[in-house]
Amino acid sequence: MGTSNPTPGRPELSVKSWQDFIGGCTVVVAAVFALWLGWKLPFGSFDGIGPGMMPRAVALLLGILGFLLILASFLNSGEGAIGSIAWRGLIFVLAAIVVFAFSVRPLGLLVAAPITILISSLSNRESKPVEIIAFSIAMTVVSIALFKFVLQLPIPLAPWLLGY
Amino acid sequence: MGFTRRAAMIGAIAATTAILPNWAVAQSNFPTKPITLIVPAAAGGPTDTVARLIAESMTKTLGQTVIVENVGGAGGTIGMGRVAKSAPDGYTIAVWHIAHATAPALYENLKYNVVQDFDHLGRITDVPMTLVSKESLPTKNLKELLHWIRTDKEKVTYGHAGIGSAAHLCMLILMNDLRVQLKGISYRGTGPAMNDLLGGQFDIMCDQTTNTTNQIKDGKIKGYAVTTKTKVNSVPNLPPLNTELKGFEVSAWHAMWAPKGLPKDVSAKLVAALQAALKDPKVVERFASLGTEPVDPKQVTPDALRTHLSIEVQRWGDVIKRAGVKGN
Amino acid sequence: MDLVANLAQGFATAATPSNLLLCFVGCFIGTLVGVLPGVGPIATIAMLMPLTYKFDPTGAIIMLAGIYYGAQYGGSTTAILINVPGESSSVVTALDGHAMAKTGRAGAALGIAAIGSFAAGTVATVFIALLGVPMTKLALLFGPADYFALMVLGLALAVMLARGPVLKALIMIVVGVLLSTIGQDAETSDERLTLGIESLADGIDFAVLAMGVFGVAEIIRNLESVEKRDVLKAKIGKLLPTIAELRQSFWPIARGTGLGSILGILPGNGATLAPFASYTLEKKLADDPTRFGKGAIEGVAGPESANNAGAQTSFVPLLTLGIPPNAVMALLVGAMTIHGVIPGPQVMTKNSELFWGLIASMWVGNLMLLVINLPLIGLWVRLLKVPYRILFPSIILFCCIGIYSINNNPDDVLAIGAASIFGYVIIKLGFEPAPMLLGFVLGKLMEEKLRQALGISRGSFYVFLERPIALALLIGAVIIVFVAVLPMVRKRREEAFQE
Repeated sequence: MGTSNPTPGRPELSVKSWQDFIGGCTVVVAAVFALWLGWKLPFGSFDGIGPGMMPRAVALLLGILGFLLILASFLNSGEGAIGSIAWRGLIFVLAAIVVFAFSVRPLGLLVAAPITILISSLSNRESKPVEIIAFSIAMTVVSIALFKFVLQLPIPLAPWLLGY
Repeated sequence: MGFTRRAAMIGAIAATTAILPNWAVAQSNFPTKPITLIVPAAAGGPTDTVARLIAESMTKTLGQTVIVENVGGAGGTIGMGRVAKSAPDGYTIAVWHIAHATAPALYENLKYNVVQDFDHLGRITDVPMTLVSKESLPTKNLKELLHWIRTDKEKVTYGHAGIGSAAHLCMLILMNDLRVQLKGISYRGTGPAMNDLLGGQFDIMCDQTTNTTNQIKDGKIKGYAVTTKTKVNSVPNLPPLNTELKGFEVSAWHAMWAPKGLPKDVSAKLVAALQAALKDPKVVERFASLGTEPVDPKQVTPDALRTHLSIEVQRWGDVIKRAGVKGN
Repeated sequence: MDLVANLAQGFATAATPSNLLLCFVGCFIGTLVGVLPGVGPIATIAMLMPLTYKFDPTGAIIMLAGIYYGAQYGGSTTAILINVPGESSSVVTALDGHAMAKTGRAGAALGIAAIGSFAAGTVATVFIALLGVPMTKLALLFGPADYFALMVLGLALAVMLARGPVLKALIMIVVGVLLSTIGQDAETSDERLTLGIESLADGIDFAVLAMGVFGVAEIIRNLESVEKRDVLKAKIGKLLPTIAELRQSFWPIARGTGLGSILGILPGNGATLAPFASYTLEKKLADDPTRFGKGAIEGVAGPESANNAGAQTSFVPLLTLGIPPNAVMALLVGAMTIHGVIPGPQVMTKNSELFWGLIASMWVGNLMLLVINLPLIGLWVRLLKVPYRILFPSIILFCCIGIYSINNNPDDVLAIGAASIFGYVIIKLGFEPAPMLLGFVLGKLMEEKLRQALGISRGSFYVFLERPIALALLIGAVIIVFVAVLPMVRKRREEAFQE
């Protein structure tokens, strides 16, 4: 090994796995953030562990591991790539969830369920309007029947119309 | 013939008397929409289970759904704070436990008055506690145990179900009366703590009779005393702790509250529904499997709860201050 | 014998009409979500947990358990028919199962998978029944220090078993532990890392995290690519394997059952290892290893049996020690506490009806699954033709309704949104979410046990060396980490030298 021809010049240092590099950086940032958040918590002693010991110890460990991952990203090429981000899916799925959260109490399942289905369907390009509408009605009926009547969960149905 | 007619008459009278009180209260038609029952703890804990059982039974009685909403955090003070602030219309009620009485002492910045800002509906459970130890402890009776605690105070470890829990409060009083400071080991409930007591991992614990009775009878742990003023039927050979420590009395309890200022008829309906729930066989049965039992029916009244709470707030305030324990 | 009396009590409990019905419902839903790729038992159980408020604890747990092992059955159907594992546990089944399907032997593959699973389920049931009592006795010897060491061992195993690089699995576990410290300190009730957000005061809800990461984030990931699902066009063929095939499968089933039963007991999700271990073993033992991957029936029979046996015996650590070995079991902890049952050695004495009823119901459930899967196979095939674009909005809706119903709190629904963004980020960065959930589950318990152990020992770490159980477990953990890390180090060195 040592006898083989020594490469002249400095070894090439470049990121081989961007996924791991970004992953490692994210982890280190998260660890530093957690350390900062937990800084004021009393550490305690081993006899009486304080609330700060575990978060800080774990955050420190996480930071070290994140740093190792950054190092590793220079050495091996990793197994995956980040690839494209499904913005459309991300946005509409999250929008559906948020709309459900804000509508279930005031408007009830009768409104929240079809809207949630409609909005989340938008996240898929292949969705067909007629199919979505028919399906949202069907799913609303199914979920009301299932959750409200069979299982009798206390979810508001249509407070503006029925009072519950 | 005469027989049937008489029977029919009796039946009719019985039916009328059964309907009458209902009809009398039904003048206001409360409730007309679902009632929110706030539980100031996370879903899944023992209080949550107690509350859900009560809610289910009250739903049947009141004819409207009683929805349990969990508002946990800060030893229950977030949830109870929200109840104190909500409208006193009967559509917001709460189930909470002994921690309501200890909150003023544990949390300095409490934004409500635990007695004056609430309408007290009634107590739900009230369970005597027992002082127990691991089986391998050589002490034979209460006297010997207390002597050992006093002399070997450096070594004694006790288990409890978290700061402010009944098991913890009981030990605080005990330590206060014995003028010792023992090492407490915190568990997330008396169930896991009992596992470790059975395995002899720590020395003593103060726990509800419903959890300890069978273990004492099976000889898996040692029982020394009950924490009530008088003896308890399920463990008749245990003396009350007050035979050695004057005035010692602790029990684990749950109760129901509403924001201050409920209309009288609304309050009466809720109290009646609560009383009915505590007689519901299903509730009683599930309480037993949880290691608790409904309180004596005489205690399920607003007045009894108010009195009880005031006394508890007073004494726990003293104990906690002396022990120097803080919540936040 | 006690065992017979106990099992008799169990079967009496499991055979009540309501429990039979709940068992069937659980198995049926389990098969359903197992068959459908992208819907797993974790999200399903989290969704359905609030429904069980209505039931008694035994019935509730029977149903939720049915979803879990039912999903294992369903997952293999999808693996065989469309070469997409319905569950991560059926990755191995896809190898030879789908190869068999392509040559027109789909029926035999499905048949042997079901028969093997049933045989394994039967043996595992007896195995759990036999182990229950001694394990419970052992559990009483376990002090906090031993529990802590056991969980360290569990996490070490999880690192070793995780797919992908060891370092990234380790990071995920530590992330999980860190997330578990968010919220009020269990002992002092100081708020930790909450950013002052009120709803974080009680910590992150496990159901929210599981549903966000395994339910919604998965959906977003699946939306990245246009769906391609080639449902088998060839005939399924006869469901019953031939005598020769049965004879060929007998020993693989027996070995798979044994492997699965033992691996399932290990904390740290040993059960996931079972199908892989069985496949490797069968390939090694085969006269002609080249047949594997081309439709060797042993490659279906062994792993399927191992998988099902492991799924069942993973209930042992939960029921006897109170330590959940994987995310599904962690959800069951939640379900049990909702009903006032504290998982651990006291389950057997305090809730003996639940303990033995659950064990017996597993056998009953396996029998039902045989019926649900074989004659109804046509139904599942048709279900596989439902396009994803119709499926996923309903999953989202059910997730929302399910999480809302747990606390009747709309904030929890928003929390799922946050958890799913988090989940999508870690998936995109190439991290495996499963070890994180385990770290999250065990993190809280570990801190609690560490505190108790050091409290009892008055701050002395010798407690971990003095206690033989703790010491043995910690040594085991160290060995496992070494075994897991060594090849990586060696590989990296080789790579470095090659340059």
